[in-house]
Amino acid sequence: MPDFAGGWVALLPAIQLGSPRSAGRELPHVKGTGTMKLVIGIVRPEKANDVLESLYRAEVRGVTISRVQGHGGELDRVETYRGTTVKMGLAEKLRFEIAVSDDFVDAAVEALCAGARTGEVGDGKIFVMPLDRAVRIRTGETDHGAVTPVAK
Amino acid sequence: MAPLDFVAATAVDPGDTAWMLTATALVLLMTVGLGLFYAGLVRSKNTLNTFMMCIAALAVATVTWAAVGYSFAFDGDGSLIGGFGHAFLQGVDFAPRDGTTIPHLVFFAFQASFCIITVALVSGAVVERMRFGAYLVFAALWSVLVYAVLAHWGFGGGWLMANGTLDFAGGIAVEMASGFAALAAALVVGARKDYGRQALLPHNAVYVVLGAGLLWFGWFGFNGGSGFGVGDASILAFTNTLLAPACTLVVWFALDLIRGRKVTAVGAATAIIVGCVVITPAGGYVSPGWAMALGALAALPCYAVIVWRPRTRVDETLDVLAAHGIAGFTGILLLGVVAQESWNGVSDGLLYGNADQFLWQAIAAAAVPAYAFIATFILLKVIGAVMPLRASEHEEALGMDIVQHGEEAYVTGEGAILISAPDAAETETGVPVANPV
Repeated sequence: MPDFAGGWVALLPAIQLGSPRSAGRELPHVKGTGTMKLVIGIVRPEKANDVLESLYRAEVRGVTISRVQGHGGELDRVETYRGTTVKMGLAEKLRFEIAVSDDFVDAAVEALCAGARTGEVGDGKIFVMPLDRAVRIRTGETDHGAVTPVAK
Repeated sequence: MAPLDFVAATAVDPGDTAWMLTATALVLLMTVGLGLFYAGLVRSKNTLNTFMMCIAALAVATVTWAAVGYSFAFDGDGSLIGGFGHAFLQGVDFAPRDGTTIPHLVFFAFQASFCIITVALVSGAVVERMRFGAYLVFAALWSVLVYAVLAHWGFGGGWLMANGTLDFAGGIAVEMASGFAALAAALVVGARKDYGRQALLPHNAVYVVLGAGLLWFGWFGFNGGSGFGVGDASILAFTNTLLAPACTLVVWFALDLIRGRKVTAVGAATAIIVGCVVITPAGGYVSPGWAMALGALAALPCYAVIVWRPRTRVDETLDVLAAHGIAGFTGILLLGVVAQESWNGVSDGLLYGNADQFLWQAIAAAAVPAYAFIATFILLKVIGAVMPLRASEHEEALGMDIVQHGEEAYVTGEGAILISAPDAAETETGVPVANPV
């Protein structure tokens, strides 16, 4: 069936819920091994779909998105409202938060870069930081069990 | 002609004039309503640009209409185009316009409001990517080369009118012209960069519904004023403008239920427009019962085109073709079937034994879309050869509001730094909340 929205958009619910495969497969309350990272990507709002698509292709599932405003050295926009001319110091950005096991860090970072890059100033930043603990609320799984949809 | 009729036809009637002044203002409000309707249908970063395309029609089309557009449409009875007799409002004064009981100035203003809304309608095909400057040039030329010509054909004494084609309020010059011009414009300007790759959704459905409501409200002036007074034809058209869209809404609800199991608000807004459009050519010529039938019938082809069009590569963004072109085509054609002389005093349709009427409606339904499409296509190709029609991909991604107008619809002011504030230096209080450098 031809889908106006583009095929992958239909998969979004799967991305948000994480993989259904983990449900019931693993014992609850099993503590994962190894370390985890929180990957934060600040990107252009208009690149949101590209980033989601490349994350999906990289098999990085499970993201949280928020709308943020920030300033990172890009040129200010000048806007005029009647007699008031202002320099808009803050630009609209999207913040992706992706909790992954170490194995997925490179994949996530590369996917963020690939999806968000335009080559112009203002493409955004990626921050990777250590993550102490993660819990999947539904099952009580922790750490790797909670952030890694497919055991690797 | 009886002497009494002659006297009546040359005197200004205060009642007719009062209504036509009101109707003109109502039609002007439609353009703002259309701006709201269109603005709600686009993404938030293009809200103002989309609205401004309608406001620009108020500016540009009024000027071109006063300069030559009105003259081309309503001066003389040349078969293809009028003359220069009324250029720059020459001879447009307090005396009644021929064939009406309202001052020529009022007739001019009423017709101007039609030209404005038609130009604004076409913008729906090119929103979210066309450069504002190129659009202004297009609007100016289109209002003269396409609208004024088709207005002459349909109700200025041109060949369609002379041969008896019926068009009460603009099925020819407004609805079919804008719809098929929109298709040509979408083809020449090209699709938005994300079209077909991402879901490009309406950002504010409330604007859409409110805009449609304002359009319906204004349409009582549009159709109800097209009898140029308060005679039977105007009264009939006024009430038919209530009946037809209501029936379109009911059928649209049913189609929505069948297709998606839910009745949608954006669909309802669209149905209101479709219903108003289909009754535009037929308003003063068909019985209230047939008006209801026309409203119901028009839902079917328009709904089909609206479902089908997004599956094509043609990014006719706000479906002007479906809502105006197809609905106007349906109205012009079916008017030739169900017109009743007992209601309109002018002519019967096919169903009442007058096949000629249907023939001339069909000729109009073929010729007008062809002219609108071809003329618009050529016009935009020529403009495109002189200046770029569309913004760059980068600009399109940023949004046309910031790029074309240096404004945002939903600005927060957070992080905004005053640049030019005369008081700031003296009081030192006008300076910015934050300076994140």
